[in-house]
Amino acid sequence: MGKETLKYYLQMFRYHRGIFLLCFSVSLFLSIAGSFLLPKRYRSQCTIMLEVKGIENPLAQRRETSTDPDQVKTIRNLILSNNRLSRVIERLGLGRSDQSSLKPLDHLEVERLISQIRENIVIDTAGTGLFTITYTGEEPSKVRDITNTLANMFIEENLELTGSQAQAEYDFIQKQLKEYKQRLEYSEKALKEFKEKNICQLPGEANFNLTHLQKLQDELVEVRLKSKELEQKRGILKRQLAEEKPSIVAFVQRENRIKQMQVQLSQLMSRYTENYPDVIKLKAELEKEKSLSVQTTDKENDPYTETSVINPIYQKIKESLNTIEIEINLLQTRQQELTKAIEVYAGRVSSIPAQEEELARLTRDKKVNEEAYETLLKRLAQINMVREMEKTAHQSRFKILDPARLPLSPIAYNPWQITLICIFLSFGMGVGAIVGFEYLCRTIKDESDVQENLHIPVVAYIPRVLTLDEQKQQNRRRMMEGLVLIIWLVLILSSLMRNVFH
Amino acid sequence: MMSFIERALERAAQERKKNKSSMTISRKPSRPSIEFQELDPRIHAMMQDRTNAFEQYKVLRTMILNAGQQNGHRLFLVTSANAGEGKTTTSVNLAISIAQGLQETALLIDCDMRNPQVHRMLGVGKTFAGLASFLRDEVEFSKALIKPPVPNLSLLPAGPIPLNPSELINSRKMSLLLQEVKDRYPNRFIIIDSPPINQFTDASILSLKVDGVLLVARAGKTRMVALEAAIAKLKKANLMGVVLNSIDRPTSSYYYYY
Repeated sequence: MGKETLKYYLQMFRYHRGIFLLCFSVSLFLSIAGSFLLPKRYRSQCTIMLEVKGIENPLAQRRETSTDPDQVKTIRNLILSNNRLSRVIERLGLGRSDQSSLKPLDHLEVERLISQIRENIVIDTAGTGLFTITYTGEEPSKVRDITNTLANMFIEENLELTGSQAQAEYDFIQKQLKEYKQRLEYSEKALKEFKEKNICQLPGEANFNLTHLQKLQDELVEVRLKSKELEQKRGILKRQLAEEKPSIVAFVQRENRIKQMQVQLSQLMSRYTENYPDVIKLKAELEKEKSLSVQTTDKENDPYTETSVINPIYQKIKESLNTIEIEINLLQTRQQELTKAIEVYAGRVSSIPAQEEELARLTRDKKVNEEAYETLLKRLAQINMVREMEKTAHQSRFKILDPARLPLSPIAYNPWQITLICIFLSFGMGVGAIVGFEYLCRTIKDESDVQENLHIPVVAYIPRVLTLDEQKQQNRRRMMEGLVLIIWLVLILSSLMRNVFH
Repeated sequence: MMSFIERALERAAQERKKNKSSMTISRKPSRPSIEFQELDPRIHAMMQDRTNAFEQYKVLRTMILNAGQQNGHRLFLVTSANAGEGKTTTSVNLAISIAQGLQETALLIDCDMRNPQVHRMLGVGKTFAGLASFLRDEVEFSKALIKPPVPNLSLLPAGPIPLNPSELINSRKMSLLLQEVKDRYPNRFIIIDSPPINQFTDASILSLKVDGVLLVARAGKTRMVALEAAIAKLKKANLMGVVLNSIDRPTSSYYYYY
């Protein structure tokens, strides 16, 4: 507030002090007189203890026994709930002129009563583990009854709440248990199927697969080398075979020749069937020689005959060639088998990380479900214990330590507070009246008003001159003001005394 | 500073005591029918009050005299926005203050024909003639004038209350009268007391016929809007300034020093 503003307000007060004094006096008188008319009020208090039981409720493990501000706030909200207050009103028959009347109260009336009770209730801590319910009202018996009813209802409902809480938790855990059992079974089954399906591909089989793959690859190399060697040998034999003739010309006696042919036939028969061409050819030659031998009687003079015989070298080479062919075929078959086996094992080895990850996931799921299932089982056992305990003995965390009593005398108002409120109120009224008057009828206070607002010079400032009569009037007014001051003091003192005597 | 008028007043009081007449004194009357009484208590108190109030009127007088010397202005109108703001008191005090000068004389004309108060303030009893009578040609000017018990001061009272004061003030004769009284004596200053300007048109008419206008406002009573309206009505006149009356403030210690 600037100096000029302060000066302006002081001038405003000086010129309109009559308005201020009038409003101040009337307001002070009315407010103090009004304070005398305030109804008597009674207060009743009930102390509730937060009790610690010998057997701790497992469901309430985290609850503290001290009454911290948050807990008091929670209790206050519980006590002051609309539902509870409605039942208090109903139980005590508040708002009914005839308490035996069964006619339900009007909705608006109930709301009004709830609001009234809520305004007059104070819930506060009264030490460690204690809190108080204080109700203030105009009728002593109602004050006591409302306080006690609220306290009793709170304790009863707390007890019901504890029981219902245990049952609710039991039901919830049962439901959870069933669900987790299904989950556990599913995860176990999935893990089992995975292991069965990937028995050779599990993370533990990785070394075996790698070793076996290496072994197969080595064998394949060896087979390829051997096959190559045999193919070279086959080529050599083929060339040798091409150089040799299958049969040669020889001069032998018929008898010897027949014997040779028989030996040769027996050899061929040991290896081939009768349909083999060489066998058929040899048989035909043998038959021919035998017929020629029958025609020739003189055995001693049997001349040497020119005959065609099988080339033994040729036969030997051919046999070797056949053997090599067979071996080559066998090696090729083995090579194919090895290639397939290597592909299979290489696929297994490459899929091991993915299989490991899947196995870990399935194992983890199973473990989590197992743990949750076990936890729920333990919790269920605890809740069963609580339920059994509640069946055997009712327990509440709260106990009424000191019930509300009938208040015999009304509570005293704070006299200083009321008086100060009256004075401040009246002062405010006076100031408000001045400001309002000035706002509606702004008057000129001094030369600055004229010069600054109207831009007209002030040529003379004539102070107020009082005549004798006016001086007498002024003296009378001052006496009146003094009288008013005395009246104020008397009013204030009487207000204080009245409250002190109460 | 004890002025001649104060001594005259003291003498008058002594005479009243001698004659044992409490309120009425007999002096050499200008006309036999006029009775002189005590000055208005406010005027008396102001004159007794050797404080700031009387000095402020002297400041005002100085301004008037300077205007007379510099511009030849000797005809001044005193008005206010509304009634009860002290214009008559100011007119009388200003006229007395001018009359106390060594060379100057003052003529106080009461143009408030609706509620004439000047003659009562100066202790003049019932008047039978005045400005209204003169303007209606009922009396000569010299017979309408009154010499109140203040040296160098003449008073032209309003006279009997007329039915048409605005018309009388707006008349040519009124203009001629003002010119005449101004021109007759070069050391005479004419102070005209008029009705409130926001309520009657008389002051507006007169403001155009005078050399200067003094607008009286009462501190704590005159509303800003009323003063603004009054100033607006004096737009064409020579508004010399505002006389702020009834200021409620502690008396200057400077004055008491002397």
